[in-house]
Amino acid sequence: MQDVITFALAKGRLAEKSVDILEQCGIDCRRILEPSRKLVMSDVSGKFQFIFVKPSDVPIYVEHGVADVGVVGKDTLMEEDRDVYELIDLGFAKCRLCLAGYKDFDLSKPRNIIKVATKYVSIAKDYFDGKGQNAEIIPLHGSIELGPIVGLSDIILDIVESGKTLQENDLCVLEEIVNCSARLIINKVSLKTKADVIKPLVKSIDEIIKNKEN
Amino acid sequence: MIKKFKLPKGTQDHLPDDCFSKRVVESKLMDCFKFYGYSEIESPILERYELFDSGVGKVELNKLFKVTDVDGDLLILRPDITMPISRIVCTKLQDSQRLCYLGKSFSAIENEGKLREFTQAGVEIMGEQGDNIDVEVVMLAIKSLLAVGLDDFQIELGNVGFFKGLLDAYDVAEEDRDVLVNCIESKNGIKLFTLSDEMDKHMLDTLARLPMLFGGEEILQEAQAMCLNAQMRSAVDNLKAVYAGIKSLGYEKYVTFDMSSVGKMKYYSGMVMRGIIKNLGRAILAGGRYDRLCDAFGKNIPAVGFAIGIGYLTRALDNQQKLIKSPKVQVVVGYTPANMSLAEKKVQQLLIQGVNAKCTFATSKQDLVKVKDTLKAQRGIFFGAKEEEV
Repeated sequence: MQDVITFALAKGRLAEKSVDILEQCGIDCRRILEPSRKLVMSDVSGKFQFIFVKPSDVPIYVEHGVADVGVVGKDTLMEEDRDVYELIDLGFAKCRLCLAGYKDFDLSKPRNIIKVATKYVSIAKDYFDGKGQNAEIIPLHGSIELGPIVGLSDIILDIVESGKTLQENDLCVLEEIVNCSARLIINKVSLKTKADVIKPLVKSIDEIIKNKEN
Repeated sequence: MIKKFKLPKGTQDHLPDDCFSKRVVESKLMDCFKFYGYSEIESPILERYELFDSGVGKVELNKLFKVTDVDGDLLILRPDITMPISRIVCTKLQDSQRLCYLGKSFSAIENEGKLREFTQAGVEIMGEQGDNIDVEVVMLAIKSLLAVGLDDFQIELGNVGFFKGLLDAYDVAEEDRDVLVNCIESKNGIKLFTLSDEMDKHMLDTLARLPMLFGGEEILQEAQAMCLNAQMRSAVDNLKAVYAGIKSLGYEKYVTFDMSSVGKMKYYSGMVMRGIIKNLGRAILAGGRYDRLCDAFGKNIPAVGFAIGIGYLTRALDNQQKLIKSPKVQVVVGYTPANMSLAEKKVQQLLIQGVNAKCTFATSKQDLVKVKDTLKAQRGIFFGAKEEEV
């Protein structure tokens, strides 16, 4: 009997786009997108299982091997820094990880300390450590843009898609740190022990992505 | 929660049932190692920081569990047992040794799900090199996992010379190597493309093939076609020879290959190995050849070995319902002062008959009933004025 392959997905757009690609690989899994409170679902054949978790938990499930494969944004992957294989850039959910603040905020000016509000605590810490700049990282879970507006922080570190939210709040991108997009991640053992299924799957996903790009 | 009830992060207790199973696994492994000629050795859990401070065995300070000695010296709780064994061999023993160990190691890295205190069992062959020695150590890895009752595992082999040779062939600068190692280790072909402005395009294309270069023996043919210099060729030749050796012994079904094994590239000097098994997301065994490790002691002693993570191994066994559980106590025999040897003889007889029996001091039948309840024994036999059932 073939081993069941478990996918960890975050509900929402990432899951929808992932299903699109998996459908093209011949996995009939459209039904997992139907509204439901079920946390574990499977495709029509029963060979693939899907678990729905918080985005930031996807790399954790995959690292532990309770999920073999996951789809997660590069931003989350960087923040979590888990021991997984990062095999394919899926090309969707593109965004930029940026430092943002008021237009007149001069990042290059030396400061005793800079106050940064962010969801990405460890990325922020690594970034400012790397620059030798003391930073007070203020962890927030939403509406990060409020930070500079209410005076909680000097700047923010967050993902920027269109830049609209920033604009409407009179903020702007001060520096781009890295470009992000969705990634296919795989458990380091599953890739080998379930290679008969995962290896061809990775190959066909890779081809689909490359065809899209061309 | 009252603090004194809490354990330090990343440590755990082993309750009796758990401890029983763990000991069975440990002793089967050690028996296997000893059967094949490895002598057990023990080193202190505490070492001086300097042991891990330099050379290829250097461990980053933040990964080490540090302790300050009373005189202010920096001590560490050993992160592995290989380095202490190298120290012992270089300073106290002859160069050629076959050693095995069982003990606790420590990591300071806090990461949920990972233990900071963990038990490892392993072997080291010091002072011997060549393909046959590599075969010996891979074979022992297979035998030891079979000995504890595991099957359908894979021993995945690689050779860091393949990757090192590739980087040498393109004269990659030392400072650029780390980023490439990271890419290959996380099989991150994506990042490779972002480097195309800075590095040789042809090299990046070749590197981009590495992540998927794993599988059975056929991978070695593919790898051979990619060789650019003697170092890469001798890496592939080594793996071919090891495979042929294992095949001649009839155990090749356990062996697979991954040419992108580059982990701890400075530490390892040749063949590397990793034991993996379905439905456990982590390696249960890791090791390889580290011929440069003893350089730190001014000695040139080739070495190869592996360590098995007892925690992961018992979990893998448990997943497959192959973990040996502690047997229920069937009979407990109680004795009054006059009847001790009589009771002991009775227990020995029962044990020979395959009955799990225990012995205890009990001044009365009521005493024995209490012990019987504590041990959850099925029967109690009391040796007082006469032998009677309770």
